[in-house]
This record gives sequence, structure tokens and C-alpha cells, in this order.
Amino acid sequence: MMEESIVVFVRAVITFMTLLIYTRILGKQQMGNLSYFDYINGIVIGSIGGTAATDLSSTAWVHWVGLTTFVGLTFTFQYVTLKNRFLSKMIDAEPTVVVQDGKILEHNLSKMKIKYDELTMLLRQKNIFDITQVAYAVMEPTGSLSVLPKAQYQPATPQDLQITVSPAKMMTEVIIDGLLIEQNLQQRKKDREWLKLQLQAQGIGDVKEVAFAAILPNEQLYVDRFEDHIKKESDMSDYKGPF
Amino acid sequence: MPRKWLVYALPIFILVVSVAVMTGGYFLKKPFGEDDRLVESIQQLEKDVREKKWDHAKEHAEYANKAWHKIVNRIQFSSERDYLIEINTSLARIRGGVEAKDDKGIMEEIYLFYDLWKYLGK
Repeated sequence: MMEESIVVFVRAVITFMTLLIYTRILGKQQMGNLSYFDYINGIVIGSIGGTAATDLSSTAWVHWVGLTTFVGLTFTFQYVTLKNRFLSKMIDAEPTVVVQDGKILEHNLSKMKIKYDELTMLLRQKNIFDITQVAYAVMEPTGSLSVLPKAQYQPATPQDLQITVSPAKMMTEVIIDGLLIEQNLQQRKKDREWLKLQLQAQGIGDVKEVAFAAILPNEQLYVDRFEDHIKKESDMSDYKGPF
Repeated sequence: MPRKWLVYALPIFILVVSVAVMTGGYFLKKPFGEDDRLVESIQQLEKDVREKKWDHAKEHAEYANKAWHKIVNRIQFSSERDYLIEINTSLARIRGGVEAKDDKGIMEEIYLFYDLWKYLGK
């Protein structure tokens, strides 16, 4: 008769690969940025996937069709909301102002189904402990609160203080796990010779000794060796192991 | 260029193979050799039972059982478990009916088998 464990294994592989491909098609929307509908939709897709893999009382194909339909509809709605602003507003919720000039807009708050306690919590998470400091607080469709403090409560920037600063740049990794990333070296307009000299200056003869190295924004090379020479590592654990 | 080709071709290939595995039952239930002619053997068995040739009927019932276990291995990925169990039960009852020479009971099971077989893998 049916070899149940083998069938479940094959069905699990099919479901896994299908979900992997479908989620790649749907794009890189971050988990934290999901709207309530996206969240529920994701749960339904996951649930169908789970049933497709393990529910032997029905064929994998019917679940696969359900999964594909859900993903197809999600993709269609994604495309429609990208192309049509009206439908986008209709399908995805709009951001709503819930605090303006230090005053709570009760009507908008109740429309978004948010309690006062939740609002104060979301404000605290944005480091706002005094509601009068808020110029605007906007409830986003993803459930997060964006806060614009009044001008006098905003941190001073180098521009405000008229300080000249060097332009912001990114750190570029050039060695990972003892392997040189040639492409990144070229991006920063450096060559192997330069890297060799930099490593020698830090007493390193071979790239293989380096766990991680990156060119910092100020053109200096940050190097971390496999041998860290730290006598006693800081221990964050508050419970005796071993773990 | 080959990498870009792989980015599209590999997922499509995986999806096509997956669909083939999930829907191949209808094709895979058909005979591929001499020892998996299940429907043919059941039809023969029906004829044997009508003519009360119980020795032949027993041979065909045994053959049908072996053929079924061969076919199950191929179609298990695209069929419902309950369906496979029902066909298994039906074939077991047919074997029992042949032992007991219960032609009425066998006929009922044979026609149940035909119906189950018709929708298997669909």
C-alpha cells in the first residue's frame, strides 16, 4: 500500500520549492511592513502549504491549485495597486493623521480602531513621552506610527549648527572568511597591492588569516582576524550553561 | 548569461516537475508491462465468475492483487489515500469472495472497483 512517509516527504519537497518560488515572485515586502490583509493572506497561503504537504486524504494537486490561486490573486492585486492609484487607495488603506499639533484626532483614531493606550504606547516607542511635542503623528496602513516632532523638539543637525562634515559613504567588505572579494575591491578603486600593504601594516601576511575586512568610509581598512587575542570574552548569559 | 537563464529556467523546471508528479496519476495507472494489467485481469475475473471457473478466478484475483501493489507505487504521489485504501479493500473482498465462491458478492465488488478505478487519479 501507500508509503505514507515517502509520499509526505515528496509532497513536502514540492510545497517547499513552490512556496520558495512564489514568495520570490511576490517580492521583498518586509514582515514588519505587512498590512493586516497581507498578514492574514500570508497565514492562509502558509496554511494551504502545510495541508498540501501533509494532508493525505486529498491530492496535493487540489491544494497546489488553491495555493497558486491565492498567490496569483496576490500578485494581480500587487500589480494593480502599483499601476492604479485609485485602486491602490481602495485596496490598501490610507495613512491617517491621528495627532496634529499635540491634539488627538479622536474621529480618526476610532476609525483606525486604535485605543488611547495603544497610541501612547506607539508614541513612547518613538521616544515621545510628551504628546504636546508632536506636530504630526500618522498611523500607517502597516500598523506602525510615524511621528514628526515640532521643530523645537527635533535634534539639531550638523546643518543647523553649520558644521562641515565629510560626505556619508558606505563600508565595503573586501575579505569574508579568508576569501578576497575582488569585485568589492575594484568598486572602491583599490587593488591587491594596496590590500597587501594594508594587511602587512597590521602584521598580516596572508588573506587566510583574516575573518572579516572592510574598507571604511574614511578609506581605512578594518581588519578582524580569526585569532582575536581577547583574554576573556564578555559573557551576556545570566544562566550557567552549557548551551 | 547562463546564470540569468538558470534564474528563470530552474524555477519553471521545478514547477513543471511538481505539476507532473501531482497530476501524473491518470497516466501512470495505465499498464506499462505484463505484470500490471489490473483492469484487464479484473475483466477476466468477471468473466470467470460468470462462467463459475473458480480456479481461473483465483489466479486472476492473485494477479490483480500483485498488479495493484505495483501500480500503487507509481500513483501514490498523485492520489488520495482514502481512494487507494478503498481499492485495496475492494480487491481484498474480491479475493475473499473467490475463496468463498460468492459470485454475487464478487460482482458487487467488481463494479465498485470499476467505478473507483474510473475516477482514480482524476
